[in-house]
Order: sequence, then structure tokens, then C-alpha cells
Amino acid sequence: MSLLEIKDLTIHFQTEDGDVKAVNGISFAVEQGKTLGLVGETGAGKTTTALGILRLVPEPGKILSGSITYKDQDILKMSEKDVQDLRGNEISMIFQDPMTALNPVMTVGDQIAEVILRHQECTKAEAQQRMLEMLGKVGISSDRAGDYPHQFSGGMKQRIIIAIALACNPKLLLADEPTTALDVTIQAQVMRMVNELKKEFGTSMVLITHDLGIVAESCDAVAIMYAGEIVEYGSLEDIFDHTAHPYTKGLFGSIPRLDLDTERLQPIQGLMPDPINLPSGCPFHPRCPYSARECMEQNPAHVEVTPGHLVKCLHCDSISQEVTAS
Amino acid sequence: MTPIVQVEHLCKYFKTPRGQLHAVEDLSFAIQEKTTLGVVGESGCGKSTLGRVIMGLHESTAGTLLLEGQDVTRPTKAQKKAMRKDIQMIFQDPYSSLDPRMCVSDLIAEPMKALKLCDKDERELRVAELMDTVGLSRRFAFSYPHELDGGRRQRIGIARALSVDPKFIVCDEPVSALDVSIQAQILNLLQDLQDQRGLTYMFITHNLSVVKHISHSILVMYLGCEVEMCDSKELFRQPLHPYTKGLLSAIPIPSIHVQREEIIMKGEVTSPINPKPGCRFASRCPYAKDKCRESLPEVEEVLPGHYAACHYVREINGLT
Repeated sequence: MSLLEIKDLTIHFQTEDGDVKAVNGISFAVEQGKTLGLVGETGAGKTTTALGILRLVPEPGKILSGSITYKDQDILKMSEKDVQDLRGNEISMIFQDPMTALNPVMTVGDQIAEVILRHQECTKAEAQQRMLEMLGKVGISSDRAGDYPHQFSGGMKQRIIIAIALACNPKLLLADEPTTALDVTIQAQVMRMVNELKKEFGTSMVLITHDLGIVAESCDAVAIMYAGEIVEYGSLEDIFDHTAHPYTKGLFGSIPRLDLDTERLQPIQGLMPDPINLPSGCPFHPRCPYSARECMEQNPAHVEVTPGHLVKCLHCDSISQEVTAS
Repeated sequence: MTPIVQVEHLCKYFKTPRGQLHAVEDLSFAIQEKTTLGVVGESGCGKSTLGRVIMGLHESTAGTLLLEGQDVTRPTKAQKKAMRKDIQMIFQDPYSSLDPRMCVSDLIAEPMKALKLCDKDERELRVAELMDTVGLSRRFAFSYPHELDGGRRQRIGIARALSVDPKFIVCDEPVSALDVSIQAQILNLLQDLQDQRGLTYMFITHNLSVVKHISHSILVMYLGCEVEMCDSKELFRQPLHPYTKGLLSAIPIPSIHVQREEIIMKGEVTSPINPKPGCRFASRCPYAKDKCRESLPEVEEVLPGHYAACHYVREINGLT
């Protein structure tokens, strides 16, 4: 049984200019103790999906349909109070920007203790004890608990956010680009720490990122998002070695590699579509080198090319053959 | 051949309330015509300040700056004007480096107007040409920056830089704010322009994969100092300095078959204000000894064309 199962989730923002179709009928599952990578570019709907899981989609966003089943319960049907008990306790989130996610007028120690006091029945002294333990786990010395966020560097702030997220020992961690704002050497430190803590606590994780390198190192399964849809979904091996969707192929062709010498990058032509006016048929067809007439007319359904490897493309068979051949 | 840009012992310090900030410390290098020098380092290593000093936006504290053999460390008014035509810059953030109240064609024409390069009709012709060159559809000529996405805005930035036909362009993180698919389009464009126009680039970035792809030679900086410099391929084949080794090993590789050797560097970058004597990297270096904390290592040619600044570079790499 999966810890989290999402079915046909659709989230739109109803604005004056029209409906912003941020997430359009996506389905995926997160297994116990595993990490799912949610990969895509700006505006693909990754963060909105994560906020949807916590029912935190900001106005004027609306979850229009679908179900989010966490441990046999549909989060979308829970009362607000039950969801509040879930947030930060069973399911917690690491936000992208460590510079703005912390309260600037509260000491970091108090911010960690706050979430413990809210969710666990314990005295202030016990919460304090647990807070110091968490600081130690993320590698910050306990005598800095009384300091304010501005006294810390970016990497350390991100560690504090991770300490808050893990303070109640959550079952599921939603990490939204946890290292994008950090330098590479600090990114390596933070990712190693997250992976170690995840192992120690047996936490499952949804890792949102656009960096395929991080995916290769930290994830078990991958969902590639484009224009609010999951275009390809499968195990690490499915995605990296048996790439079947033209968009995923395009992503791999776009990144300069340290381990290979490429004379010229093979970028994806064109731009992300406007989520208010998505193209007809397959939303990727205007940028797709394999696009044909039928792609303009019908939005393809997912095809299971091999067990567990889902691809949303009419021509995925010929494309995956081509990839295997090369 | 005279290099386009040559700097010798360049220093740039800033006065701050807490003391002197050593942004650029004793840098020397040369950039040959039609090549790209990549400058890499983490935030706060002084790479942008270096770009700005070369652009003439900051005055250097010490050292000399030569452009095509001419000393422009303290430029005269006439030299400054010539520099503006010969050196241009592409900025990191296409969202804040364009005037929001000017339309695309005015933005591209502005540098030509400022330098009084050609008359109005010719300017209009040039703007249309430039838009084709950088791949901006002419229907955007009267659009404003807020109507365009990041990739197109960066193309405006490139067109502006090209408009005065410069010889040398300082690119300060030109693709960092862009998504990977757009990033690849811009990198290809910059490479094509170099081939077609014989441009010379200084490419400042924190992204080692990007710098490997676009540069001929690479300068690695740490807290204002040169750490290592050599040919691009050589640097990735055989990094000599412990910082470069750590930096390279910190980058996750998008393949499930490559196992990278992980050297996790402990600690974080220290402050460049009133730096302690000794090697700037000593506090994070796994090989640091007493000597490293006492004296700043000089840059030396360890292998032919391969420079590094480390007291123990030979011991670490098993070289004699």
C-alpha cells in the first residue's frame, strides 16, 4: 500500500484573465520510505501540487477535482481541524527560499519548539529539549538557539527549516527545491543531511526540483511535469535509461554535462505555454520535434510502455526505440 | 599576439563599517581574442566585482588593467568612451536590468544613441537586424519588458550588448535565472555569436557544467583569490587544488551509472572582511597544515599552462 496516493488532481486559479490551469488531472503515488522526484520547469505546477497535498493552495486557487489519499483517508474530505493536525506533524514541507520562510522576529529555537508544542503533548521543557536535539541533528550548535534568522547564512537557515520540518518526525516530507538557493558545496552538505535523516526516521519524500543530477542521486521514482500534467512517470532507470517522452528527452539534451563533452546543446524549441491558453491536443505539441496532426487534435492518455513506466505521448513507442538504439 | 584583456595584480577593496572587504585580491590573467574565459566560484567570491572592475564600473584599488595593450587602469575621458564601445556587459537578471518604461526597439537602440553611433534611420535598420540575430521576433519591437518571459528578456540584453559592435563582452551569470530548456537556447546563441563575430567573452557563473560547456579556459576563485587557472578540459580532467576538487565533487551528475567521488567540504565560506593571513581556504581544506594558516600561497605554474595556488599542491597530487 502506498503512503500517499493522488488521483486525477486538478487545481485551477480563477483569475480575471481566465482560468490558470496549474495542475490538470495528475496521478501518482509515494511508497513508504521512498523518494519521488517531481521534475519540471517554472510554471509546470510542481509547487501547486505540493501545496495541494497540504490543502494550502492560495486564493484564488481551487482544487476542482481528484482525491489525495493519505493512509486510507482523503485529505480533501477532511475537516480543517484534522488537516491542521496533519500539517507539520504527519506531513511537513521544506520551502524553497530559506531567506523568507522563517519568521524574522522570533528566535530560531522558538520557531522549532513552536511546531513541537503545537503537535505533541509535552511540556515547554520537553519541547525545548527536543528542539536542542533537532539543532544538533542538522549540525547547528545548541548555543545558537537564541539567535534570530538574520544572524545565520543561507545554508544554515535551510538547515533550520529542515529541523522545523522534521521536528515532529513526519511520515511524509514535501521538499520544494530545498537547495536551489544554495551554493553547490552547501547543496551537497544539505542533500546528504536530508538523505541521512530520511533514512534514520524512515520518512517518505516528494522532492521537487529541476535538477536532474539531484534526482539521479536522491530519488527512487520520478514524475516529469509539463504544463500541469505528468508526461512521464516511472522508476529512475525508466526515466534515465529508457526515456520515452520527447519533453524528457529535451530536458536531458538541454543540460551541459560535467561527465560528457558535448559540442552543442540540443535545446527544446519555443517556450512554456501560457497556462491560461493551453494548446489544443497534447500541450507539448508546439515544441515537440515529433509532433504530427493527431497531436494537435487529441490529448494523449498515459501508455504503460513497460510495467510502471507511464508515458503520455502518442508516439512514445518509436521514440523509446530510437533512444535505446542510440 | 596582444590579448584583448590583461590584468596584473588587480586588487579591489571596499571600505565597510566592519573593516576592509577584500573582494578581489591580486589577480593576474589574460584573455586572448575570440576565446572565452570562464570565471567560477561560489557567492561572495568576488567574481562579479572582477567583472565590474574590468568594465570600468569600479575603480581598482591596485594593479593594472590593459585593454588591447593599452593601460586603462585610470582611464581618461576619451578612453572611457572608447571602452564603452569595445566592452559590453550582459547582466544576470533580465527582470531588473531593463527599463520597464522602454519598449524593445528603444531598449536595443539606446546604446547606439548614447554613443552617437549612427543616425535614426540606420538605427532602426540595425535594431531590426539585431532582433533577427538574437532570435527575437519583430512583432515584439513595441512590446515592453513585462510582457515578455525571461528568455526573451535575456535576448534583449544580448541585443543591447551587441548593438555597439563590441569586441569583448562580460557575461555575468547570463543564464542563471532561466529554466534549463531556455538556458540551452541562450548558451547556443552566445556560442554562435562568438563564431560569427569573433567575440571574446568573460563568462562569470557559479554553474560548473555551464562553464565547462562554454569556456576555453577557466579561472576558479575563492574569497577574492585565484585558486586555479588552466585550459577548460584540463581543469575537469585533472583538478589540482583541493577547493576545485571539492567543488567538482559537489555537483550531482544526471546519470544513474556515474558514481561521483564525494568530498564533502566542511563549514562555509568565511568573511572577506579583514581576512586572516594565510590561505583563504585553510579553514575548510582537508589538507590544511600550519603553514597554510600562516602565509597566503602564491599562484605558480604547477604543470605547463596549469596554475594553482596551494602550498602542498604537489604533495596532494603526487607530483614531483
